[in-house]
Amino acid sequence: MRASTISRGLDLLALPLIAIGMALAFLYVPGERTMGDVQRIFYFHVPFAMSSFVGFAIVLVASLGYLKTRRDAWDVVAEAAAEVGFLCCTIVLLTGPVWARSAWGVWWTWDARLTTTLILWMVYAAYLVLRAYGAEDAKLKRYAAVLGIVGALNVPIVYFSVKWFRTQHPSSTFFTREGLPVPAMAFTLRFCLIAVLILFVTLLLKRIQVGRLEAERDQLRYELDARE
Amino acid sequence: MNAYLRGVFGVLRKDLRLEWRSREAMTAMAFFSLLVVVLFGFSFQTEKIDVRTTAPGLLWVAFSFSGVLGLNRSFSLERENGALRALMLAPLDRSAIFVGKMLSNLVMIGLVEALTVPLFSVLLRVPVLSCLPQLTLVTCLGTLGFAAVGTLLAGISSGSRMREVLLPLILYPIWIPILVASVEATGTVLSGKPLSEAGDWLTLIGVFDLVFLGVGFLFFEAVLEE
Amino acid sequence: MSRFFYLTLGYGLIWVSIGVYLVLMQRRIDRVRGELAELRARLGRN
Repeated sequence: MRASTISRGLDLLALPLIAIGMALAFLYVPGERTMGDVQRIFYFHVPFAMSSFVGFAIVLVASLGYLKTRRDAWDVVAEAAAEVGFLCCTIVLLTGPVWARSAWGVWWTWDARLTTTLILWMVYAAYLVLRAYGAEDAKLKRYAAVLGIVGALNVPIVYFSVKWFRTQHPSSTFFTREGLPVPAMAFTLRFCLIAVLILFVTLLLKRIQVGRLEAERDQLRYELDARE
Repeated sequence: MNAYLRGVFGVLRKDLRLEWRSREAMTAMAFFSLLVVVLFGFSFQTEKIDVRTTAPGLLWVAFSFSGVLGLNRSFSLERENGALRALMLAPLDRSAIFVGKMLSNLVMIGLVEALTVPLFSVLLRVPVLSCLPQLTLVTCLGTLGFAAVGTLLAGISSGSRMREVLLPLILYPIWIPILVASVEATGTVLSGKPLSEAGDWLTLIGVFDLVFLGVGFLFFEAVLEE
Repeated sequence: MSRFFYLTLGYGLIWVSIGVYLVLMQRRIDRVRGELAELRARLGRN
């Protein structure tokens, strides 16, 4: 199958899948006793959190690739993954407080997942700030690649530090995933996870396309300047 | 290997000697660190600081803030005077420049820490003498990580359009987990508990140190290229 | 503030975030395509 066909197929598939996932989470899954309906956000809150990790993994590989080969294609992928990963982090940080406010009356809890996501959000933001205001072209790509590697390698360290901090200073457990007893729940979670991952890939591919076009435009500008 | 080490110590000696002549950065760092301690002391009404909880955090915040000052400084001079280019022309392995600079930053921040701790102990009435060796170990481990990542990222920020302003933005999010770990370990040590109780945290700091010493060693070269 | 409200808010925020990003990207693509066409024309002339 040609790449553009796959890409086109994903485009058409992604949003409807999300919609179906939401319908499932809303209608199909039985209500949860303690938190009631708002707990249904969980079926998207968790998948987006996982997607942000995937983003970092791609940034790591792409940044290493760029430093090794100095080919712009890698740089385009790194930037795209960082943007989409940042979007996913943002969604986690938006849905988390909504959930917390509804279920426990507070907008923010320093629970492990939310705290980790906040830190990762800041690392992504630092990367994007560097890309936006950092430096001129060739230097920028190198700097961004190094920062991308630093940020991505730090992810497991962030994860453990937050986890251990939480176990030493426990607040009431908030976002626990009491084992999903009902098969409908497990199915819905898996469905939503796949839907969100497909969305992630779709957005990533689109963003990569934007990056490639912009690189081409920059190349043409350069050629034009050279001639004039 | 000998030539390599000579390169490292060459850079280290140059940076330290340069600093010793003016003592600008060290003075600023030390004073800033003291200010942070005093400011926080005032803000939080030091009648009774819970040794276990607030004091370690305060100490490490002071180190983190003054540390950034030193990191910025270690590169701004080079950039301003074109010294960086000269350094790159020298027959030095680029990674040796990294190690040398990292060590010079480590020494400078370490000295400031050595000055801050007694002041901190006195001003906030936190006993420190009984656990001095353990405190030193924890501080060294944490600061090593800070110096490693910090030197690499300071190289980036000094070459960027935003210059020094960028460093805190890119360094602090990366630093957070080890800030937490260092604070936790320091808290454990200051309450008189044995080091083994902070074992997990120390391991995490150690891993961070190794990883980012390695990353700096490998990738500093990419940062320096002109 | 019923729980239903918060649930809708949550889902709504997800759609809005995705939507905003898609719109921004579409604008970027359109702009780049325009610039590319113009650049190609100018290069063609030269």
